[in-house]
Amino acid sequence: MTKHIYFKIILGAILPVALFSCRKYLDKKPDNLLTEDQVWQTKANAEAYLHNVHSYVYNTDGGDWASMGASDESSVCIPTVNVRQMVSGNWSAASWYFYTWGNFYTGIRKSFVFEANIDNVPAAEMSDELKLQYKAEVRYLRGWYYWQLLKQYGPFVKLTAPIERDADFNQYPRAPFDTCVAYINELMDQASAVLPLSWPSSSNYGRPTKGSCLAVKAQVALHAASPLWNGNPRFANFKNTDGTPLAPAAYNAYKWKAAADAAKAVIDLNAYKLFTNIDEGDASFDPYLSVRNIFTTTWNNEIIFANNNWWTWGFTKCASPGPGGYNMYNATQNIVDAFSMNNGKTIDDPASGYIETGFAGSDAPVSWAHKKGEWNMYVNREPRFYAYIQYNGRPILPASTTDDKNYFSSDANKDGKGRVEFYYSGKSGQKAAGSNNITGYDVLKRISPNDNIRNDVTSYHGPYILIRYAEILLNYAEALNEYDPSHPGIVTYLNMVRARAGLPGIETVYPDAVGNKELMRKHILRERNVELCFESDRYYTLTRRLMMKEPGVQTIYGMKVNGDDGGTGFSYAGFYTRTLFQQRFWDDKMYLFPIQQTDIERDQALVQNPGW
Amino acid sequence: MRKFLISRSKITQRFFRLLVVCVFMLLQIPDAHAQTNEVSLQTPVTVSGKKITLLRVFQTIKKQTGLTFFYSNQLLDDNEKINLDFKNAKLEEVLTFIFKDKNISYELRGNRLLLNEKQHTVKQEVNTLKASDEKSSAENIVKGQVMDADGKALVSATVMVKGKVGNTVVTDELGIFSVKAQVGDMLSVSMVGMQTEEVPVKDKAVLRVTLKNKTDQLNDVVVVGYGKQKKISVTGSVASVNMEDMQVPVRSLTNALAGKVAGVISMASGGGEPGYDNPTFTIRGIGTFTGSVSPLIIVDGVQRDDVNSTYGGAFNNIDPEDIASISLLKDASATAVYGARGANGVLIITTKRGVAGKPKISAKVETGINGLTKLPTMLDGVTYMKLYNEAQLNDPSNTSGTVTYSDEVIQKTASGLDPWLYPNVNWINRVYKDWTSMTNANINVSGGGEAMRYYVSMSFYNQDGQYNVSKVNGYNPNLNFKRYDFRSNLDMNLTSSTVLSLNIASMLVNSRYPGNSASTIWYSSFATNPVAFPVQYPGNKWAGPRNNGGVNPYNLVQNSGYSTEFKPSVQSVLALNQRLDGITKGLSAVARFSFDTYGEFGTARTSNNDLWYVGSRDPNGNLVFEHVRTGSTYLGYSTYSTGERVMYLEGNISYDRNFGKHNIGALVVANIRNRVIGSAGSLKTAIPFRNQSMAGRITYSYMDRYLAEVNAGATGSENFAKGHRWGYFPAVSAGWVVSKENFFQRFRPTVTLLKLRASHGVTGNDQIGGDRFGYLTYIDGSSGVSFGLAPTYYGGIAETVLGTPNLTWEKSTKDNIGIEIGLFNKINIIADIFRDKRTDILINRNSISPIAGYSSLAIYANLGEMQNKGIDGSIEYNERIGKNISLRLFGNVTYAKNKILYADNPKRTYAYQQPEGHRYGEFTGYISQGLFVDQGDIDKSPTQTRTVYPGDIKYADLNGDGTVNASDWTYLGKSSFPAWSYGFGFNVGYKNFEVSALFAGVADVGIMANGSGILGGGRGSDGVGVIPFAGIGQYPANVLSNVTSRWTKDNPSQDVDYPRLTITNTSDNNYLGSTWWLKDGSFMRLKQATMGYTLKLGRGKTSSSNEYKNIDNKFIKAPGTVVSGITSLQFYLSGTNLLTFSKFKLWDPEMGSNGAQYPYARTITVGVRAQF
Repeated sequence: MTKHIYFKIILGAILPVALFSCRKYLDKKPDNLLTEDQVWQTKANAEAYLHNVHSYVYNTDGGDWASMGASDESSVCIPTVNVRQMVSGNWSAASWYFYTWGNFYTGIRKSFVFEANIDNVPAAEMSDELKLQYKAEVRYLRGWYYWQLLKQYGPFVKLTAPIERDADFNQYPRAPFDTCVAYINELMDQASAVLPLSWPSSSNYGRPTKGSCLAVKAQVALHAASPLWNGNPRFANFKNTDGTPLAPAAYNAYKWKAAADAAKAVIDLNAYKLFTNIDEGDASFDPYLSVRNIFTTTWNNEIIFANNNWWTWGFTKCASPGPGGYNMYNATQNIVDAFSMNNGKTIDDPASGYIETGFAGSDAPVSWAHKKGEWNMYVNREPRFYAYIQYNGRPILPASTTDDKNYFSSDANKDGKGRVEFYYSGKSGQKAAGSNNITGYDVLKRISPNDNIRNDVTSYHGPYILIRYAEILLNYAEALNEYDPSHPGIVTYLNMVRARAGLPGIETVYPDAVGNKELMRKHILRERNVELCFESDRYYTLTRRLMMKEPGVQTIYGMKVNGDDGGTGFSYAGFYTRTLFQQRFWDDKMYLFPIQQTDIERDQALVQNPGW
Repeated sequence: MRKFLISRSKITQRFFRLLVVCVFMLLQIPDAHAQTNEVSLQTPVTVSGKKITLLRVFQTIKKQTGLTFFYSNQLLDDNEKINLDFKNAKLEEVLTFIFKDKNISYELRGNRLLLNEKQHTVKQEVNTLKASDEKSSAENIVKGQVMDADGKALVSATVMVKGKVGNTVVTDELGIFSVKAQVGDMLSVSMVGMQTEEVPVKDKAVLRVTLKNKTDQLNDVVVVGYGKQKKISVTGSVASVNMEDMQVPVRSLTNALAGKVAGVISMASGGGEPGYDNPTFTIRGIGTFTGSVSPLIIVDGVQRDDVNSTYGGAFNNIDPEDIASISLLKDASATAVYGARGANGVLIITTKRGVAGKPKISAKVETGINGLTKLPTMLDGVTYMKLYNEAQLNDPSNTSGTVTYSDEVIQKTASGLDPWLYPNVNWINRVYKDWTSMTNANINVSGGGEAMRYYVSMSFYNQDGQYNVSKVNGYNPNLNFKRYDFRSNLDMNLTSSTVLSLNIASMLVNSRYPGNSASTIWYSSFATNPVAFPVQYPGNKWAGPRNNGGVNPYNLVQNSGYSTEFKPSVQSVLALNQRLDGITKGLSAVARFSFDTYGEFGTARTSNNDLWYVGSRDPNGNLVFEHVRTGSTYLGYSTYSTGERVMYLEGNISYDRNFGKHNIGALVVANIRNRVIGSAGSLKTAIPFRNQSMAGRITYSYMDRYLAEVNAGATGSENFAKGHRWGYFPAVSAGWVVSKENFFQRFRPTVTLLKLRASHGVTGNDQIGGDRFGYLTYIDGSSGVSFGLAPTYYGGIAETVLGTPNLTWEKSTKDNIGIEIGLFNKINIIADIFRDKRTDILINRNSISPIAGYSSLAIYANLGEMQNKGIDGSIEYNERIGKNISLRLFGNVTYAKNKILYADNPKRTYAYQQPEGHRYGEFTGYISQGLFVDQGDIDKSPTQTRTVYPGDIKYADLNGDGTVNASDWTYLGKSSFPAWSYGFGFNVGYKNFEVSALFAGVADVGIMANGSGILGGGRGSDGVGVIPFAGIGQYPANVLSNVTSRWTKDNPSQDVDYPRLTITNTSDNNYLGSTWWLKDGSFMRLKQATMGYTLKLGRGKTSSSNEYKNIDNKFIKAPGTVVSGITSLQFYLSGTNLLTFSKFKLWDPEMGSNGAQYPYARTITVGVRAQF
């Protein structure tokens, strides 16, 4: 009996050992994993990979530095956010502010992987025609990513094939600026040869078109013609370690012509037009609705390239006044002053009829303009002012019911209008917390009246526009004016933008400017400033034109939000005192973002941008 | 029940000469084996042979049954040779045969067989009493009983009359002795493993002597991997914890270990929220920089560290009362048998088991109060407003001189007359209360007989949270942590050589938490400024923020609902232990099967309530309420649950045998383990975690003097590709007990022990971090894009891991040299010096340039290398002063300093930025040169990263390019993890009183007090509370009150805590990591202190201090007639974390760089401990 037990025990002890012979015990791994090969076996997987390449198209829901806070059009009220640190000069190659370098290169690598493998998808799964289209799409995307890098960081490392993980990364220097431009153009040319002028099926809206390609070329050409990269003496010593100059040394006036031609190529496609409210089915043209609804209706013919993936709620919440919104995206007095009067004259023009002080005695003739009791500064301004700027006393837009509107009003003002209270003791005023709206203005662009920010209800109401036709028209006018100031096209195309905004032609308001390069440039840039405000154009216009160092651009004004109204509310005139609230810091090195220090260490052939 | 008294006359006959008691210690098989030896007279034995000595017969019987024979040489000549032949005969038959012609009787007592002279006992007893009455002085027979501290009789203790060489006796199996002595003689009572006692003889006395365990005994066994070894023969570095020190009311076991044993470095930087207060616990510091640094934790032979690891490991919930021993295996020799799990050291916990005897009940109840070690002090409202204004004025862009708070507002706030419009709230004091209650109780019963022994225990732990809340909403939102532990450890003798052991422990954690997490509540209380809004307005209207971001911290905890959690876990082990002497002597086998299950179930009832804000009064002076948040009128409901199970199967065969002076031991073990996480978060973690391992050990010792050991382990894991799954980990070690050498004997009176040992070997670490199955390229769902007029989202796929085919284990090459010294039998010193070099550390490739486009995915490689060196040691001193005072002093220290040798970093432009060569967790930053004095100072100093002003911090320009920028930070020497850990303390006993204290601390550790450790995590900005006015959304945050020590134009002092005040954030130049903010985080705590008084009742007058006393005859009774009821009562007052000594004053330094956390508990308890 005892022996029997012994036997059992030994068996029991040996059993696990025996299990070792069963080698399968450790053969445990995720079953049915998607392998690299399988990605290219089916249409669905290959397309999913493509969608991921698309996902690197970058928009920060309107909250990146260029759209909000880095140029003179806006500020962000919270002093601790990155963009506020940047504009106060607290910025170095170790800061990681708005770091996009790694992300775009990831998108670029994936575009190579896709391009290299898409032909492996069996023909039964995917037609050659579709493969061709997808290849064109990823080329466009690659070009787009390079273009974003070029704008933010300057010359990039030009890759034409993926880099293996074990490569010697120190062998990849930056390419000269002109090479970068040429490469983007090459990719755009390849893509535009395949992509359609417009997508026959609306389900493809969001994919690039031929027009997208040409529009990128136009943007790149204008960027290249501008003073930042066209013979900028500051970049004279901007060279690779082997001495290759990275910036074009000499000014080349012809680049302006190239920029004009590139813009004209988009215009000549005849695929785009400026959006108006008539496109929405309205019977008569309304400039206010036209300029406002570009951003709040679904796809329209002004859009050249746009991104459907954006966070409407986030933008609306940040931009909207308190207490429903965060009151964070503050427009500045600088941009407010840039809007012209509704007669097309600028406010510094004594003939414009602009009055700086006092309260308006009557309502405007149109419903969307000023109301009685508002400050004269806001009276009879151009329609875009009312569409894009939330000023003190202007009713809240994303609030549907009377209750919702009253939510934004103090007890004394609960009249169902929802007039926004930026004054000191108001609902959106400084008294509430100390770091509220700091300029007396909020951003109103892209805000839809169909939303209700008090209850945090927002809906998709249109894509985030990355390139629109109005910009191309202004690019054309701007480039043409530099190259051939007498060209009639300048007035024609500038006026198209003005007309949609309800303004008379430039030649009727300011005839002196016609043919006058300097004067006309001033008007074109003001037009860009207003038309493309909060769309990141202002930042890049100021940088590419080397205008950032101008004092007017760095002294930021607002209203006197800290003036105590003593409970008098809207009738407190002291609020409307121009107040300098930010003297920003500028150093010319800030024309380009620094290459992150650690990225240079991982590729020692990379040279840092000048000054960093 | 039979009395067992020995007559005086017999004693004079029998014990006048030296008695020899032969106790066979043939097997150094651990307790479990000893217990298997309990046999009856019916137990079958096999003894045969011709002309074999009785000694040999007894040895044979002992091997088969475990029975130890006790007899005196006068009674029996064990060299007598006999012939016998029994096969599977009853023991009784054999004994009868042996003693048939002898005047010897035998009696079975437990696992002892006592031999005696036949049939004289009763008669002699009477004689004894008579004799005792007749003779009063001169030569007297002194009787007494010797017991251990628990009141158990000590058998074969030697009782010697000092100065009379012949008068030496040993105690019988009841611990009783009779010795001839005179009044005034001094008796010396000694026993192996016990401290020798000296007792004076008084007239007519029956002595009672209690011997205390020697703290460091040569014959002690220590728990090692898969078994036990005699302490003297251990060649690896193994430390045991003194379990007396572990009797503290601390929930987390690992937390209670700090400072108590050499080798442990732990840092509880995660905060002290009950239930989530487990520290980062390491053995000998940090050896790797990506993988786990936690040791392997074995409870009753089964790995238990990763079960319920999200909750700190279920082992942390074992009640220290139930633990018999804790061993730390520190070097390669000790850990190699654990193969790829041993690199971070091994902690072996064994729980208590039953010992045969009457039921022994021990109970403990303690209750007390629980506070927090340190609450940070924040600015009050008035100072806050003044400093905020000052910071605004310091902003150069504030050209208009605007300030937020007018003098009028400050005045009104200071007056406190209108707390609704001008609030001034100390949020921390409002949210947290000073003291709350806790209770802790344990009762355990142990005992058993020959067939079965048991240890059964129940314990209960209850701790309330520190929230200063009430049941205003009909529910109690305060934190409450309750734990119920049941344990049942059974040992059953199936045959004379087979023991079946079953351990079942079930634990239930039942806790309640407020509707918001502790971290959120802390962050908010820490950060919310005092003037934002009051706590509550009149009319039961709770105040809340009017704008983006702010929160009312008190409302977060009082009115946001609650969640309840319960976490049951069952840990069970079934072990079958078979001695296989039938095959060859010294062989035995164990089969072990274990399953653990762990569940976690939570129900959250949370909601938002209505909040109001008052910005003004109407013309009548009434408050104008704004309804800033419309809440819900009922609590929402949500649940969650998760769980896991582990199964483990082990078989081992061990061999241990003496061949004369040689002792040889061997072990072969194999096991498999399978862990499954229920409702795992991802496909990868849902796959069972599987391990197979095999290990072996050979030990050799010659006369316990020369020792050698070879260990080897092999571990396989499913985590790697075929061909890379198995890791092989060998280790060798040797020891030399110098004090056993003949030449050393002249030093013996002083140096009682001198042992040298050394080991070298390789172990592994399979907890290497990173994704599982890093050898496979893993393609997973990823971000996509939307197309279309009414957009449709199309998900993407992307590689998230790029497979590296040959991934494998992390290897650890360890060297250890140790010395053990014993002095005067009172001082024990152990010291070790060690080195651990890790190679093949799995890292996510770091040197790949982002231009290659791999930023979004992981690429692993076994590339990292790291080194960890240090020493650890302990010293203990035991002394008795006079009769009444006992003293124990002890201390231990551990030092481990690591260095990253290679981490796949690119070559840094500036060598001082290269991570290689620096410590794990070492802070980086700029070198502060003080504050800028004036504009002239700024002009002649290197350009800083932004425009600076007098009062800003000046950083050193390390590369000398005239600009301070990203090229000028460097490593600052101090790490967030300490290099030194130490503990020391004392126990002093005086009569029935005992006082003990334990201090523990860490040194060479830094705190970066620039707020970088305080993370907003979506709740608000990073750095709140430290960086002035960094905010929660639009609400500027409060600041620690030491911000008043700042540079100002009026007081441009360098000797301040803060630079010029500005409203800023973590990335501001002044608040970058720098030597300005790097503080010494060393601290020492009075970790525990106890005062006790022991009341002795009846027989079991036990105390840890040595006691002897004359007692009446009637107390000398056989074990079966124990006086019932309480035998000992101890009352005590105990405290934990009572004092903290540190240069760092802002918050509890143990929390490291994050001061915005629930601090550690400080407890004061009163308790009672009773033995029945």
